[in-house]
Amino acid sequence: MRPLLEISNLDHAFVSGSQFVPVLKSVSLHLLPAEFILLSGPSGCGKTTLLTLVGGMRSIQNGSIKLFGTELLGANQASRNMHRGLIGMIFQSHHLISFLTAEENIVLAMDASVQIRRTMEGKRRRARELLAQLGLAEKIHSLPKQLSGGQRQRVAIARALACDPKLLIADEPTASLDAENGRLIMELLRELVDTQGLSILMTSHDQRLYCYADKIIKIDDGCLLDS
Amino acid sequence: MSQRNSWWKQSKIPIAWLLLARFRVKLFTALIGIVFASILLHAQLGLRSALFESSISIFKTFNADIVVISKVAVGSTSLQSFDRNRLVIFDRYPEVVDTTPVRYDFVRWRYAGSRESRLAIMLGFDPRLRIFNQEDILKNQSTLLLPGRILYDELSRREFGPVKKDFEKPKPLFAFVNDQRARISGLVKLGTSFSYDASFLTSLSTFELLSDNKTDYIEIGLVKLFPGTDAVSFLRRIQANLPSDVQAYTLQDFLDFEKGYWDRSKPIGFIFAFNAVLGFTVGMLILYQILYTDVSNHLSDFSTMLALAFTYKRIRLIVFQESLFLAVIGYPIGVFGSVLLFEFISSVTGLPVRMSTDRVLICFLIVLLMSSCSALMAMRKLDDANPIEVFE
Repeated sequence: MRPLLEISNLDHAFVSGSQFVPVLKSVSLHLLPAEFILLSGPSGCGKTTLLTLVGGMRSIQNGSIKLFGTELLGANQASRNMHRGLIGMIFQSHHLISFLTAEENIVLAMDASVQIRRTMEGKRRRARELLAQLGLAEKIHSLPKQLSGGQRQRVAIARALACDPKLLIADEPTASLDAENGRLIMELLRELVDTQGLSILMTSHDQRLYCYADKIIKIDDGCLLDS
Repeated sequence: MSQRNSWWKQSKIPIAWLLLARFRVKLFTALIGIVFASILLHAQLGLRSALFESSISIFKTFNADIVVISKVAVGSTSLQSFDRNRLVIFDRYPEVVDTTPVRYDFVRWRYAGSRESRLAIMLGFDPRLRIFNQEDILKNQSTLLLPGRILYDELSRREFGPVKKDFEKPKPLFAFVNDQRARISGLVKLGTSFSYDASFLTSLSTFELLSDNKTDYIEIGLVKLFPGTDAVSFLRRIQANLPSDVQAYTLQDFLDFEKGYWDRSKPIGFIFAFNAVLGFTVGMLILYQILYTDVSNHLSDFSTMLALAFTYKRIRLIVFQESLFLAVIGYPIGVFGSVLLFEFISSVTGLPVRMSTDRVLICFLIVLLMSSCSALMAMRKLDDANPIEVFE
């Protein structure tokens, strides 16, 4: 099976003063369709940096990332932006747009994608479907401040799924939630992998979440340790 | 065609509009800024226009093709007397129908019953001739054939006495001009200006009677040409033969000469223009501050949009659209406020401060420019929006 995501010998360093501080060292991994990989490691180990590189938010310094068969090394901002539209993203905090309703936040994600060509009514219909699927049918007109933490994160998941992505990257999506809401979110993500064939690359240092992933990859000091 | 169809069928969340509509206090404050700037712009440009219009309000009604004034005059406030025989030279030319003198002087005016004297403009002309192209003057000028009669400008400031109101009463009205009694035999509409607050018309003989300046000298000479004569080429032809102590203009050039005097020789024209620039700057800074604060407050939202694959160009467009919405909503309110302000100024001062279509359009373009400049400056804050921040 051809991987959706292929990372090979990826190095990345940040500049601190006059020094280069390496954060990723020769990282390689493959993510197959309908696979759930959990990157685990302590804070500052480089897992979030890896997600931002996959998400096309940083340019690749050395190594290779192939996303849907396209090499991101050397890709310009516009090209990386286009690829970002193909990926669903969930962040540690919900990062919903504060002045938009749940429905509008999801429509906005479709507005951002150059691949989505739906009318406004079509986008709204899709947003309502997703919210209903995630148990938020009655919250479509609620602003983020009117939602609980768990509800906000579910809206964020709905937003990530709005453009029918094949790949979801999630940066500690349960970190800001209580245990019960965290469990519900993880069950939902697992269900998306099993029923919709979604691939997920997720970071977390919470060992209780290991049971939801197909593969656990530990990362420490910028190096993948084992899987 | 199908591409066009797909274009209008697709629409996007109106983020710029929602950023305004869902924050009423900000919207209200920003609109106040736009309205304030619009009113300031209109007021300054309106007063500047009134300055020019009022300076020629009497002269533009002259029924003449050429206006002759003293060589040393730089504007109506500095009209000097010259020998009335200077007009004789024009009579030599076959293109000239006739020439006629007009007297012009500042005089002390005191309305009967009042103790206070004020300076007013007195214009003397031959009431047997059609000197003015104005209906109310033509209708009343025959009353000036009697000595000691004057036609009072009903648009004069109210401090000069309740003449208009009293004129409705069936009793003769009198005023004292340079302490000599004159009877008000009719009302006309001439209008005030920035150099005088009241004016009246009289005959040449009464002018000499009432004026301290009783000579054979005049301040303005009017020349009427036969129909079809080109006043510009006529003037060019006779210019060299004109006496050295007078200058002659076509009527339009004389009006421009007078406007130019107020524009270039007096500071007030510049002050109004400067105030308009000030209004533009203040409005721009107010709007910039509001937009900048808005961008700062929503920086994390803009970072999220970038993470969702919005481009910097697109989020800059949101700020630009916000500024345009504010201009489009705020400007009509500003125009309405300006109309009310003009009504007020006009009723108090008698100045011709009016709203004009071309000024409405020009000010709208200025307000659009002002909003765009504010947005361009506020957009720089968007450089701080970073999609990576949503992962931190």
